[in-house]
Amino acid sequence: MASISARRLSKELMEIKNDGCPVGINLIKADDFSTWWFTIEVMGESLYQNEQFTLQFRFDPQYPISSPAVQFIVTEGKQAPVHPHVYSNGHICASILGNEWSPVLSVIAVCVTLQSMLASCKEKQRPIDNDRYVKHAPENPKKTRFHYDGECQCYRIIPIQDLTIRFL
Amino acid sequence: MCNSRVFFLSPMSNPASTPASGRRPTLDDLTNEFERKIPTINDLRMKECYICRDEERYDDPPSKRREWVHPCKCTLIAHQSCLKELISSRPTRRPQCPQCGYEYQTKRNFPLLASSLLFQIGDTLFQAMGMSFVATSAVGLGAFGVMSVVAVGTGYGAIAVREYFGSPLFDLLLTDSPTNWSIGHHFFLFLTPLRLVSPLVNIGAFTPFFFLWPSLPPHSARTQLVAESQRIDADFPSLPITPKSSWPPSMRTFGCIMLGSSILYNRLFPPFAEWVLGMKRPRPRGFLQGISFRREVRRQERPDGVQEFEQEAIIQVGQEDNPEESDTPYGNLDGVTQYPNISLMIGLLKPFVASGMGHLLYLGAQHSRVLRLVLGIRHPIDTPILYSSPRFVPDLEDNVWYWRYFTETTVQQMDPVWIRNSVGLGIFIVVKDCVHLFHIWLTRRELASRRLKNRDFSGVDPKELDLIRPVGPTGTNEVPPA
Repeated sequence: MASISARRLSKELMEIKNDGCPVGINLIKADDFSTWWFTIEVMGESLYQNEQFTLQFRFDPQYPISSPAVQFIVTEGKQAPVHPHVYSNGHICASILGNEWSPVLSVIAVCVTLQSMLASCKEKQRPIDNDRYVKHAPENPKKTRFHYDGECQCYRIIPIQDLTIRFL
Repeated sequence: MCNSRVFFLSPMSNPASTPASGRRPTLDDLTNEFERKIPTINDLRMKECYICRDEERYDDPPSKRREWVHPCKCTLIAHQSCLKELISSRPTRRPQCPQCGYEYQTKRNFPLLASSLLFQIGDTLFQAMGMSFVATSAVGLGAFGVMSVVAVGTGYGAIAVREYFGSPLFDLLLTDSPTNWSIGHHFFLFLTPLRLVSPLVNIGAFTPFFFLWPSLPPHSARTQLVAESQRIDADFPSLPITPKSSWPPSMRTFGCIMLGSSILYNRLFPPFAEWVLGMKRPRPRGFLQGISFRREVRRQERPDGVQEFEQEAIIQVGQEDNPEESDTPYGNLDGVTQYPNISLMIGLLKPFVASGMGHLLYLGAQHSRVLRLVLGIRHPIDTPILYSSPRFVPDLEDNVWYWRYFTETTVQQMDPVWIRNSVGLGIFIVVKDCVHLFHIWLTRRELASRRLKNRDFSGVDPKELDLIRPVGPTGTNEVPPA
């Protein structure tokens, strides 16, 4: 049902335009109902002071029943934040983007959650399996099956079809 | 984003709540009414589906009315269709409200449910049938595999027995078709290759058969024999039955002889081997070493086999506990000279070896009368096998006593192939063991003659060495202190 995603996204866009974004979050580009870009900054005293990151949202026709594909942009000189749940290619391991996504959340809600995830980080480090993951990562982070472990670093399991393609 | 925009409509006046006195309702009366009436989803002024975020005012319905539902305990509401789509998109997860966690309850249409259940039962039945078919065929294949192994073993056993005992006896008493064999025969025929290969049983591989031959020919053979004998009877007049002679011995007697000789051989050969090699074997240890334990047990089960190889195996394992052996332990020697695959092949070839040796002995017996007497060889043309004439005996087919007598006399008159085969095999085994012993003896000699090569102290500083005539600082030898 493409219309449900279009209607919902247009509603969200209108809300953003009318009510504005929360502090530290800015909508850069929302030309269509497939890809949106935001910049995100962590306010106040944090490890990421004065750092600005670019967040990309990709919606499929099943939005909001299916979650959007969210990742940090790492091209054109931009960097992904150094965080235990953020891989160096911009993929994010967050439960609200996976099994805890529900239609009651919205784009702004995801941005705010990610902002607070960055703000609450105690130590700037990459995930444990960062190098291994980045070598074999799929293009779309939704193809990766992340294992959500509350405290420690997250690991991921690549779905079978990608493995077979790689080894053939 | 959780909008708590819930507005109540003004309550309708309830005539029951008007006070009897007829005065206007006070605020207290109105509050009571509020508490008594619990609002439903239809009392909302503005409805917003949390999935598609569509809004609907109570007094301005859209052209296409959509069904709303409030499925949980908090204030979230949604369209029925949106919610159903959400649930169906994640079939494995139990649907619950994202805000209050209340599990959604679904109402099902009973007739539809019952009919779909019927189909489900049908599906499960078919699947069960398919699985059971696969399982049965797998079991069948397994059984087939086992049976083919058994068939191969039994076939080999039959061939081996025929080689060893000679085909006339085999054709008379066992015949080619397995339907004529009894269960005991099947079992032992199947075991024969194993017995041949096992290093425990040396000469006595065929010993059970000496005692196991049936005392009467099988049914199908009997009819054939009757027909044949009637023909023979027509050609030859009946001849007197030759008296039973004590030599060559009967089947059972010969079996006992074989048993006795193999036990004797087993007792005598190891001491002989020790004497040749000039070493003492360690006594077989009991149940501590794994291999020796197993072989011990097997020795008790088969007292007729030769246990020479078994004892050698024990030595191999028990070597660690016996460091006081003389310079070259027996076990190490044996490990050098014995190959397990050789004994396997030799075991399987034994029946053919036996028949070959028997044939050689037969050829030798043509030239030596003594040999012929010893082996009890009969020239088939000299004395034709005389079947006692069956025409005197009525009801031939089932007369057990007659057939027993018949078999005995026939076997007595037959050319005792098995005797010369056994003797030949015995000779072969004795020769083989002696050759093996010789091999071990040679190896031992060779190992004993090995010497480590001697080198001088060319790389070492002479001052480090404790020489008889120490080298002084000038580099010349000094006179040792007195």
